[in-house]
Amino acid sequence: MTETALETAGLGKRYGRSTWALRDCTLSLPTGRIAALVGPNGAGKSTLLHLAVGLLRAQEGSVRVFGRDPRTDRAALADLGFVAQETPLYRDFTAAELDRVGRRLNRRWDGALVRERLAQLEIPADRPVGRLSGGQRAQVALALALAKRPRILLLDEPIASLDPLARREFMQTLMGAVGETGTTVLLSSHLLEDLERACDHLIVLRRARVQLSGAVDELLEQHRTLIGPRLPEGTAIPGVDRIVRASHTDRQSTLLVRAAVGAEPAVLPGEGWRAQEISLEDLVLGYLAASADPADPAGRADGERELVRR
Amino acid sequence: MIWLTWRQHRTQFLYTLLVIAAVAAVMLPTGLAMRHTFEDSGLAACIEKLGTAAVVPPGDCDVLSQQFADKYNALTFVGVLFVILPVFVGIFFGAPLVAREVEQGTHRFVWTQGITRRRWAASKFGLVGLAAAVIAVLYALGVSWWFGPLVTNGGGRLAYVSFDVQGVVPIAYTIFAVALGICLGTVFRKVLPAMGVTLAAFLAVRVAVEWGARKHYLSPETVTLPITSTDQFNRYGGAWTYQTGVRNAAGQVVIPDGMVQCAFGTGKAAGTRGSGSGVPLGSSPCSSLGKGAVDFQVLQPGSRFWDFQAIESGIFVGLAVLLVWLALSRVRRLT
Repeated sequence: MTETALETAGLGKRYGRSTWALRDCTLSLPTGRIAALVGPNGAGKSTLLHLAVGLLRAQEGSVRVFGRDPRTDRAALADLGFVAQETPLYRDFTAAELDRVGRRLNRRWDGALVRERLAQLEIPADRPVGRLSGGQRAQVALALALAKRPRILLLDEPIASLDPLARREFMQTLMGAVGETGTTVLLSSHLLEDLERACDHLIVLRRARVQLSGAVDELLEQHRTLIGPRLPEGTAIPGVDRIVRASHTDRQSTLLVRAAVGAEPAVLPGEGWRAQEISLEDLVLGYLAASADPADPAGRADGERELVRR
Repeated sequence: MIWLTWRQHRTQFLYTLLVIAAVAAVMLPTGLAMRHTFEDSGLAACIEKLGTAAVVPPGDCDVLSQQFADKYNALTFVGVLFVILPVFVGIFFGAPLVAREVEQGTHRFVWTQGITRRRWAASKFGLVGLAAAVIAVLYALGVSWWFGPLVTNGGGRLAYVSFDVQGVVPIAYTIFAVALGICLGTVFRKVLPAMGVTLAAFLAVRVAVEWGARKHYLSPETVTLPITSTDQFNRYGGAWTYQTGVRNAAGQVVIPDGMVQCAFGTGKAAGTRGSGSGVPLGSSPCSSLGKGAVDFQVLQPGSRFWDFQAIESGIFVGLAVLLVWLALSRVRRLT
């Protein structure tokens, strides 16, 4: 069964008259995937997530969650769980009170799940969540999102503000929970390393546009690093759909290439060339630093720095 | 939603009840004492006897009235404080309603639960509006009761300030203030600016309606009294007097703001008030006016109190409806 959990077509969101936060976004996320939404700050990750949960309205295109418009269809709201950036909760409410809010605002609500998770993590349910640590608050937000028994769970940089230990705990809880239920997950981060092990689907955003989207194993299969003698600019290589990124020294060229559909990815341009498999991190970095618009070296550097900072 | 709304606003609500209790603790004894004096001194009966006629025979209510005023008029200033109370409900209940959610980001939590934000907004606006209305009813009843004797003895129920704290208009002001706060909260999306602008906008609208529009709700009546009469205009009939002046026999206004009473048998003015800035008069106004002259008052009779209340309430409730509609459509577009 490969039903589509999230589907966008030509999706665009503009702030003001000409600032596009997201443009031409067409992607499809099959059910059951754990998807990483990666890109530097300001790339449009939050915009995409907010469009998907109905917090934002698009100017162009459409977004569907299990075939429904999240802005107008209440059934779509019931199907999705959302943990927003900085995990905003009513800070003077206790976790038990937030559980009660959830129970009253949702037809489907698993309060036992919230209580069990909090007990497991030793988070006091009777203390205002504003007085919990950031990691604990994120866990409360996650438990509340899971209690909706959502079919798709969207998380906007849930671990960005957490310390490394809390990060790992959070990811463990998340993966454990969705492993049991088969929930589709879309998780954004500007740090790939947090998501690398957990995700089987990748969406790379940069400068309001989708650079790459697909299953991780297929993407890795399609891409290779080719290393060989210095190539002149603009050389076409048979079997290669696109040279994503090229770097040259005086004597050597290193190319990140995407194979043409149906072609054997290891086709080499000539004598002295070798092909290397590529890691997920290199793939993402390659696309973020891609020479999509050569007139914009600053933007490239930004993307790269953002991603490797940690 | 009911529980969530209660949980989010219960602190404010309890503080409001505390304030009401504190105000009541002051109002109850002073109100009782005031009513006691009003009845026992005979002032109430005296004013009762005059009725609501515009022109009444000379009476002796003035002495009692002065005594009462000497004792209690200082409290009129407390009444002025009541005028501004509704705006606080707007500031503390209305302005943060949407603004605090957006400022703290919690709208992203609550709008992604299983109810649409339209339903969220309708429930919250409705419940907070209802609570504000209940508070306003308490306030209106209490202040109307407390203020009654002072108002009857003073400028009447239609006078500025008295009109604003009695009857149903305080309820309309409160609902308007809450709607204004909510709506500005959706515009400014931060609690403090929303509160500040709510205060300013509320005052601006209130002042504009009070001094600009209210006079024109209904066309005033003119009451006349021959200058030779020993009768008086009724000070206690609850009328809202726009102008008191003197017209000569030809109908020209000779004194635009004042009145005269002449006893022509003696050839002396029994009493004049005001400044003569109309047709020049001699040192003795009575002789130059002649017998056909009349004192006149342009006024809204006290019996129109509820008509005025209904019109003013209609304006503010109408504005509130408009603001709520605006707020709902803005909530739909908020991010």
